[in-house]
Formats: sequence, C-alpha cells, structure tokens
Amino acid sequence: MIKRVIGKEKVVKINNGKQKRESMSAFLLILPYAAIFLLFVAIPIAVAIYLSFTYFNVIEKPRFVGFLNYINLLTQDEVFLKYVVPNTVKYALLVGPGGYILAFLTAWMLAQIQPIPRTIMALILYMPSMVGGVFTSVIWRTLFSGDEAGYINAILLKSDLIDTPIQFLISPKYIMIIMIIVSLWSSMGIGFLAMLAGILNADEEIYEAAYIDGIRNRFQEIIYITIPTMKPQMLFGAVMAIVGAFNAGSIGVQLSGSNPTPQNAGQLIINHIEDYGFQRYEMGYASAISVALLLLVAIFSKIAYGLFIEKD
Amino acid sequence: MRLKPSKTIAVAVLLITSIILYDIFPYTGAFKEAKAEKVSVSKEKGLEILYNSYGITKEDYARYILGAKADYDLEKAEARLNVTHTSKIHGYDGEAIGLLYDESAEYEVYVSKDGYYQIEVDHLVDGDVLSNLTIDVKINGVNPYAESETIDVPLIWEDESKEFTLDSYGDESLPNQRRISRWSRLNMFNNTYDTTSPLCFKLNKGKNIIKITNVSSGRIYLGNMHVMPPKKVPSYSDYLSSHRANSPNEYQFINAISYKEKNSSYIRMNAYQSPSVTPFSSVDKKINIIDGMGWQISGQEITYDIEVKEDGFYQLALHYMNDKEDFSVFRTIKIDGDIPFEEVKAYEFEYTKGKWANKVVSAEDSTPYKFYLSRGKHSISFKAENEKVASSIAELQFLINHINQFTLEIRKIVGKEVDKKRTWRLTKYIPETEKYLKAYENIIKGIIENLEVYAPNGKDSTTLSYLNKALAKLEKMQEEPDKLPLYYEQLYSGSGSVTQMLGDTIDRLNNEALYLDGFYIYNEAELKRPNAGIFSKLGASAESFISTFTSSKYVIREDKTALNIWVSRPITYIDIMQKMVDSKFTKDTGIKVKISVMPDANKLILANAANESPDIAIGLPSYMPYDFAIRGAAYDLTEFDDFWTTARRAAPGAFIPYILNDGVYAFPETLDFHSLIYRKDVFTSLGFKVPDTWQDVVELLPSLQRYGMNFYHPIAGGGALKWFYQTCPFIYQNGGKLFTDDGTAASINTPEAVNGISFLSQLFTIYSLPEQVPSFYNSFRYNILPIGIVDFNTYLQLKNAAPELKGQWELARYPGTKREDGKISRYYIANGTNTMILKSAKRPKKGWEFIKWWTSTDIQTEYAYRLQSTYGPQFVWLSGNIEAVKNAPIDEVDKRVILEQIKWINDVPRTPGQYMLERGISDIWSKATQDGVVPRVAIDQQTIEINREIKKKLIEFGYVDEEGRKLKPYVIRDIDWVVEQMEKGGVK
Repeated sequence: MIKRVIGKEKVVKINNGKQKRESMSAFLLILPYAAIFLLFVAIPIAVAIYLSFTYFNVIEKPRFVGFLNYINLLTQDEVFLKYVVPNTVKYALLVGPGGYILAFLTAWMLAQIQPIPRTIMALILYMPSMVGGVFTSVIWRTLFSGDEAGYINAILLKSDLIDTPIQFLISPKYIMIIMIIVSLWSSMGIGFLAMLAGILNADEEIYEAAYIDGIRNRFQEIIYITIPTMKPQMLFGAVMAIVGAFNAGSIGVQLSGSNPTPQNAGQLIINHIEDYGFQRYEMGYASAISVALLLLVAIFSKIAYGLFIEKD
Repeated sequence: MRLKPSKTIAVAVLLITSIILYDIFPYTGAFKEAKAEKVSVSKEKGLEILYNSYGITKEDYARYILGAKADYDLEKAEARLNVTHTSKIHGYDGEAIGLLYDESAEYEVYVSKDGYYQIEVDHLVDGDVLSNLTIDVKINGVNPYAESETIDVPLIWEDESKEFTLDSYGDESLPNQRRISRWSRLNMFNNTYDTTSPLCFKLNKGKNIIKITNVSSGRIYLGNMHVMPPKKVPSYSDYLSSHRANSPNEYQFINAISYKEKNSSYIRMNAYQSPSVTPFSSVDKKINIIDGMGWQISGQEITYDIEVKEDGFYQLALHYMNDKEDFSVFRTIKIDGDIPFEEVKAYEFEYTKGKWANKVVSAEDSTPYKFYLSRGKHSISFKAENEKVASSIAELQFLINHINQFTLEIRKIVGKEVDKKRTWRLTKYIPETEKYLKAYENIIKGIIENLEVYAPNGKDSTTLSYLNKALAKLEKMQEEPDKLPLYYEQLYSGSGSVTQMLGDTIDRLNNEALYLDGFYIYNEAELKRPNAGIFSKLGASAESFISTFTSSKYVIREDKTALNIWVSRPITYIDIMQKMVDSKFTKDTGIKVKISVMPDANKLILANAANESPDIAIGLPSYMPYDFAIRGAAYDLTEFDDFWTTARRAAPGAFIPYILNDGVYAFPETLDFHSLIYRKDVFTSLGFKVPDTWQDVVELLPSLQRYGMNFYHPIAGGGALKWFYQTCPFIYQNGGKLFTDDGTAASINTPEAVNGISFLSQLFTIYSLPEQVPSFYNSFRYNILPIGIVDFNTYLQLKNAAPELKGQWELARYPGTKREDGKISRYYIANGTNTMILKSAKRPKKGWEFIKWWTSTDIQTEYAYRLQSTYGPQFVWLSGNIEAVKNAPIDEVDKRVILEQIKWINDVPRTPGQYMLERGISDIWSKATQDGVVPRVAIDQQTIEINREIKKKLIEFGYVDEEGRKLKPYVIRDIDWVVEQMEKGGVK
C-alpha cells in the first residue's frame, strides 16, 4: 500500500511537472499572439470604446459624457443617416459581394488554363490591390479628369457624344459609380489568391466521381463540388471582402481630392470618422462612430461564418 | 572565377597609375582654331526674312549701333541738372537730386558734334536699399533702344568681417554682408549686361535733354552727369609698348575669399570639400572658394586688393573650375577699375570637366599676357560676361517670339479644334510657311556655328544639344509643311516643343558660373598643381570617414535650456534659419535657440496632447492657430504690450484668421498673393485688352473662346471640395460678409453675398469657364488658357520652369468688382504661414522676442536673399513683412503688382463651425454648376445646415447654451478692427 501510495505520489508529482511544462509551453506559444493582439487590437479597441463615452477634442483632457455621442449619432447627425449609412451599405453590398463573386469567377476561370499563363494572369489581376491607393487614384483621376485632357472625356468628345466635358470627379452624380468601378477593379486581392489556391487544390477524383454520379455540366460542377470543397477559402475570401468593403474610404477622397466628397455623395463611414476625428477634432464622437463600424463589421462577418463554416 | 592575387595587384596598380597620370597631366583645355566670328550668310538672310513680319521688330542696342563707328575724339561735356528742387547731400560737393519710384531728373547737355557718347552720372543709393535699382534713360524724350529702359544700378557689398564665426557644428559660417554706400560714377549697362563696354547714346550737335527715371523702389541720388566719348581700350601690343619695365621676381597667391568688395549680394563664398582648394579641413567645413552657383550672372563683379613691391610686368593665373557642360564661361579682367587691354575683355575660361584647373591668362599661342603694375596697392576685378553669346541669345529670343506669332496665325486659321481628317493646305493660307521654317532652320544652324567655337566638342556640346534637337524637328516639319496644322503644337507649346528647347538653350547660355579658389600674381614660377594628388585625396576621405566615428559634431542633443522651435518646412530652409539665429539672435540676446524640423504640421496637435510641445511653432497653415486658440492651447500674443505696434509690419488682412474675440494667437510669417496673369504675345496679336474688372473678363470671354481659349479661375484647380480662397473673393468684392457680427450664424444669404455667389456660378453656367483644370501651369504654356489667376507657387513655376515663355507674360491686378461708389474692390482671400507661441511654452517672453526678431524687416530681407543666393532663384521668400517684400529679390515689375495686390488680402474670420461654412459654400457651387440648382435656393438650403453646426460648436465651447442664450460674448473681427488696433497701438 505504502509503496503504492508512494508510487502514486510520484506519478502525481511527475504529472504535475509535465502539466506545468505543458501549460508553460502553451503559454509561451500563445504569448506572441496574445501580446500583439493585446497591444494592437484589444487595447486600442478598449481605448476607442472608452473614448466613445467622452468628449475629447485632442487638446484638452477627455471629459466623460455617457451615451451622448451615441445618442447624437442616431438622432442628430443628419449627414450620417442621410448620406453615410446609405452610401456605405450601397458601396459595401456592391463591392463586397460583387468583388467577391468577381474574384471567385476569375479564379475559377484562371484555374482552367495552363500554369504559366495562369500565373501571369493572376499576377496581373492581383496587381491593382498591391499598388495601393495613391497610384490607383493617379491612374483613375487621369482617366476621369474633368477637362479635355481626361481620357474618357476626350473619347466622348471626339466621338461627338458630348460637347462639354463631364465633371466625373466633381459632380455628385458620378462619384459613387466611379468609386465602385475602381474598387471592383482593385478587388482581386488576397481573397482572390486564396480562392485560386482552393480551386487548384480540389481533388480531381471527386470531380470524376461526380461525373459518374450524373453531374451534367460545369455549372453543376461549381455548385456541387468546387464551392463545397473550398469552403475555408470561400470563408476567408468573404471575411476579407466584408472587412475590406466597410473599411474602404480612401478611394472616394482620393478621387475627388477632398474629404468630404462633393455634397457627401461618396461619403463612407471611414471618411466620416476621419472628418470628425481629424478635421473637427471631435475624437470622442469619432470613436463612437468607429465602435459602430466595428459592430457592423462583426455582424456581417458572423453572417459570413454562418454561410460558409463547416458544420460538424 | 577568381582572379589570381598577382593579377589583382596588377589591375590595381594599373588603375592607380592611370588615376595618378590623369592627375598629373590635368585637363588643359581643348585645342581650338581661330575664333573669329564666322558670319553665316544663310543665318543673316533668315533673320532678314523674319524681321518686320508680324510687326516684330528688333529695336535693340545691337541694331542701334549697327554700322556706327566709334569716334574716340568726341569732346567731353558736362550736363546741367534741369530741376529747381535740388539739394545738398552730405558728402557730395555738387547739386544732387533724390529720386523715388517713378520720379525723374532731366539733364541738359550741349555737345559740339553728332555722335555716339557714353554717359556717366554721379550717384548714391540710400543705405536701406537691398536689391539693385533700375533706371530708365530717355534721350530727347524717347528711349533710343529697348535696353535703355532697364539700366542697372548695382549695389556694392562687402563682408562685415573676414573672421568666420563657427556655427553650432564647428563649421565656418558665412559672414554678414554689408552695403557700401558711397558716391560713385554710374556707367550705363543694361541689367542683362550683354555688352562689355557701357552703352552708348547718340546725341545731336547742340542741346540734348537726357531724362533719367527711377523705375524701382528705393531712393537713388543723382549728381553731375558727364558726357564723354567711348573709352578706348588699347590692344595688347599697344599696351606692352606703352610701359617700359622688366619682370621682377614675384609669386603670390590671393585666395578668392579675401575679396574686398563685390557688386552683387548673390556672389558668395562656400566650403568646397576637396584638398584641391585652400584652406581645407577634412573634418570641419572651411570656407574656401567663391561659389559658381552665386557667380553666374553676367555683370557680377568681384574686386580684390593686391600689392606688389616693385614696378613691373606680372603674369596672372587663376585657379578655377567651370562646370558648364562642354562650354566656356567668360570674365573681364580689370586693373584699378579699367580694362588694361582689349584681349582680356570677356576672356574665355574653358570647361574643366568637374576638376580644378590653373588658367594662365595668355594669348592664343599660350604666351602669358603681362600686366603692368606699379609699386604699391592695386585693385583687380573679375566681371562675369556673356557678350560673346549675347547676340545668339538675342537671336534665339527673337526666334521664339516669331514662332509664337506664326503659330498664333496658324491657330487663327485652324480654329478651335484641329480637324484631323481634313486635307490641310496650310501654304495656301500662309504662303510664307515654307520660307519661315527654312529661315528658322538656317538661323539655328548659324547660331550653332557661332557658338561651337566655345565648346570643346563643337556642335555636339551638351549645352547645344537642344538646338540640334530643334533642328531635327524643323527639318521633319519641312517635309510636309502643308500638314503643319496637325502638329503645330510641336513648334510652340509645352515640353519638347521647338520654343521650349530654344528657351532652355537661352537659360544654359546665360549661365556663366565660375568657381574660383584664388589667383596668382607671379613671374617665372611653377604654379601649384590644380588638383590634389590621389594620395592626399584618399587621405582626406579616410580622415573624414574616421572622424564620423570619433567626432560627435552632428549629434543632436536635447537642450533643456534652449528655446525650442519647431518649423514645418524642409531642412534646406531650416539650415539657413539656424545659422542666422546662431550668428545674430543668440549673439545679441544670449537666448539659445534649438530649431527642429516638423515634417507635418499636424504633429503639433499630437505633440501637444502628449505634452511634448515646443515653445514656438513656425510655418503653420493659417487654419491651425485658431483650432489651438479656441481649445486654450495657444498663447494670446496681445498680452505683450508691443504686439499691435509690432503687428504694423504685416498686412492687416492676414491677422483675421488668428483672432478670437480680442486676442490674436499667431503672427503672419509669409504671405500669398493672387493676381491676374496673361500672355502678352496672345493679347497683342489678337488685340485683346487686359481685363481690370470681372465685367471686363466677361466681355473678353466670347472672343477668347472663339479661338478655343478660355479663362482660368482658381476654383477649377484642386479637389472637389472648394476652399474659401476659391469660392469667397466675390462675396467680399460685393461687400458681403461670411458671418454675422456675433459669429452665431452665416450671413451668406444677404443680397451682397448672394450676388457674389451667383456671379461665381454664372461664370461656369453661363460663360462656360473650365470647371476642372489639373494644371494651370501646363494649360498656360500650351496656350489653352492664356489668362487666369495665379497664386505664388504657380507664378514661381512659370517664372522658373517655362523658359520658352520668358518675357511673354505679365502679371496684372486681380480683377475687381465695381461698387456703387465707383471704386473697384479687389479683395482676394489667401494667407501664408504663421508662427504661434504655445500656451504650454516655458519661455513665452523669449518666444515673443524671437518672433519679433524673426519677422523684422532686416531679418526677413536677409533671409530672402540668403535663400536665393544659396539655393537659386526659384527659392523666393514672400515674407509676411511688407517692407521685406519691398526689398525682396523679385522682379521689380512683378513686385509692383504683388505689393499692390497684397493690400487687398482679406482672409476669412474663423469661428468654431467655420469648416461647415466652407463645405456649405463649396456644395452651393457644386449644386449650382453640376445639378443646375438656382444659387439662391442652394444658399437657403445650406444656410440652415451651416447655422446648426455653428450653434452646435458654440455650445461645445460654452458660448451659448442649448436654448441659444449667450453665455459669453463672441465677436467676429474684421479688417477695419485690425487696422484700428494697429493705429492706436492696441490700447484697449
């Protein structure tokens, strides 16, 4: 008995040491992530949430005001409700799913061709999302410039379709459409690469088996096999698209050259946050808007998870 | 593959020997044939064809004296001052008269013979003038030639001390320059100094009236005038035979930095980091040369004192560098103020390929010239000259003018849009087309022939490369002259066009940069090698490399005791500023100052939040101080008793955005101006009148637009959000205001303001001005928009980066609006940068001392000159101090317009919600022009939104409560209040 007890104690001791070591290694493994997450995500979000309950004009000390900022956001801020929210939803719906579908389709089409042209084409399609906003706006501002030197205006004028240049970047009628076009053009980002990889990774045997089971065309192939087999990549692409669409904002400002965009026609939430934070110096209010944006993104990401997550 | 050690060594040895050999046998100048100016017959013919077509005549000096023979036997004569109110000026024993801008003096002179005379006049320039003056000389009521309208009156400068003080890094800093004000004889030279000898004037036998007008700001005193025959300069052989002496033993080196005086403050010394020049230290910067970048304009002269112990003939050699690519520069050598002999007039200094060279002043066959010096002190001067290339420059300029007129003729024919599908027969409409193109080609060929003798590579010289390219273009055009309308832009507009290349060539030719280390007065002695040997160069590099580890001269240390200043400007500006502060402000007041670069002005806000702000911030945009002030982070400058008296040095309108109630929270540091700019060539050729009011602009538009041209309003520049300076000048010009006096509401719905805004939108909806212009600079060069409103930056761009337009455009006053009382209101909205003391400053009093010093006339003027002389003419500093602008190195004609326009500066007052007003007005414009909404309606809609935001902000800052009751007063101050405060010195 005693021996056994001693033995047991020993075992326990050993187990203790092992457990400690294991938990220690788990702690060490998680530490870099936790530290970075805390430092760059959790703390800033916490500070933003705290600031959203204060009046803070950057120069003086923050003053606690309770829910006032949120109340103002929903009841007082005409621009927010009249322009910013509708614009953002419209933009996000068109650019998010639109870009997403476009990315999937191009990825699927590229997967059908030989490796070398595929790589080249993939690189070309990926390029716009790499070059960044300033470059994008330089190209598109030249294309849409509101004088005879702008390419689109020059073509329209030459072919006698118009007789005075269209003010694409000044007129509120056009700015939103152009923003969406440009965003779609540059939407082949990391999500597109992930999807391309997903399609290429699909097991050939499944397709063969499916044809034996009676699939008749490529469309059915996509619906029944390609998409289900690449759900993880689809999810990744979806989350990237949603976050991207909501956090986009620079494009309208870069195209029109100013924040706010003309008559708020291209005003997105991010522009609104920048306007309040850095032009009106109302950091507290700006924080409240960014918390609202955070919630929006979280909700839509949840929906994406619901659609694509493996249910097992 | 690896090289064998022996092979490596061999290669190294070979390399080193070749470098050493190159060093021992330096560049001695390319061999040249006789340099008699070849007269190209076809060029002269070409010029003859172009003269008088399109009414372009060339009434210049060269034509004036063409065929005239210098008559050295004319009798001298004294002219009599023909005015009553002369006065005795201290230090002058004759009668004298002081002339301010536009004042003139008349002289009466009797000469015994018709002939070409030189005129010299005793003159003195007042002590506080800093930029060269210009006078206009009329003979019997007319300007004999164009050059006589702008005769230069140079100022004489000297260094305050030849002991160089060390800056905070231990490097030698440039000494202050001081003006020498003394009576002297003024020789008549045009301000381009195209001639080596003074200009001559043709006087008739008997009575002549010579009228001198001062056409620049700054007073000039004129005394007696002496009329005399042209001075005869002997030839070298005559010079030699007129002196009888031997060549005593002598060897002295006079360092270039030891000059006695110079006639331009642009001429400056510099520290050249190479052991080839003296003095040199590989660790600290020692001032050792005259910088070619500052000694490149024809007419700039620098004078040295020399002393010899015996009478005799001496040789002269210069240790110099010429980096003008593949082209010579020229200097006239004078001894005791006179040119000793003909051969050293505009003496040639060859291209040195980026190295230093010794140039023995010698004849073509390299026998050194001998200069006679009597025992004792003498002065020796070197004067930059461009006479040898001046005629080519004049011809190129003439060519540009002609091409401009010619293309305007083409434009009249092809109309608004060139029809690309049409078969053009241009020669039918302009029969001279082929003749002109051929003439252009021949003239350029002739010019190249004339110039290639000064280039070691002949016509392949880099300096002449543009001319060759222009030739190629012209040859191509001649293949099908009928089709010229399809690509006539290649002749005259923008980059790559023929005129642009000719313009660039003019700029290159005008550059006479020469770097001077010193010169030798010697006989029969071996000169020092011009370039240091390879080993001493290597040694110096090694030493300076090692010193980067051992010396800590450039380490920046936080200085707790110093006044901390952040400047939002590039380092180039700050460098000079710190030097001036060290050598003047700290020296005089004992206040230590530490200046740091602030890359982005917004950093100040963040720094303030982090409690790390400086004492003073400089170079801030005009919207910033108010944001600090209303949040209690800026220091109220009116707390200093002498604020308002100090404020008088700046434009009253510039203070408006810095005012909050009775406090002023920043001081204007720089200014901006808006004014009209137009192309003279287009306006004269098409017979347009320069508009003075907006009514004139509207009347001009139909005729402009008929030629496919238009008018540029600045609202068409920039992004989609239009700022106050773009939208609101009309409101002010119509007598409107932006805010109600208590600041609680916008007042853009008053009739005056509505008029202003409506007119602004009508310009686009009715008169179809361009709504978006990405670059007015380009549109102006391409002649699409030959008239428009420029700001300071575009003005500088056109001044410095459009050589083909030199002299083709002019500034004019900002168009105004005629008010009921008949006066024309020319208000414009602009502002420069400012300087502000932060509330958290530890030393506000010292900070104010600094601001007073920094914005003072002397310092601002000096800063403007130093910037330009250090970095070049494109670095123009438009100071907020108006007196400093008057002194500034800006073209006199432009400066007149700028000074006139600055009076009308009127920036927008700030209120907590003013950004909403700015956006609101921008949206009104956009609604009216893009959506076709009636301005009045758009204004009413926007006013409601603007007022809501203003009220919200006033509540935020505690000026009113939720019900709109006033808690504390808020007053909007206008320009009249500022003027009133300035007048009474701010006694509240």
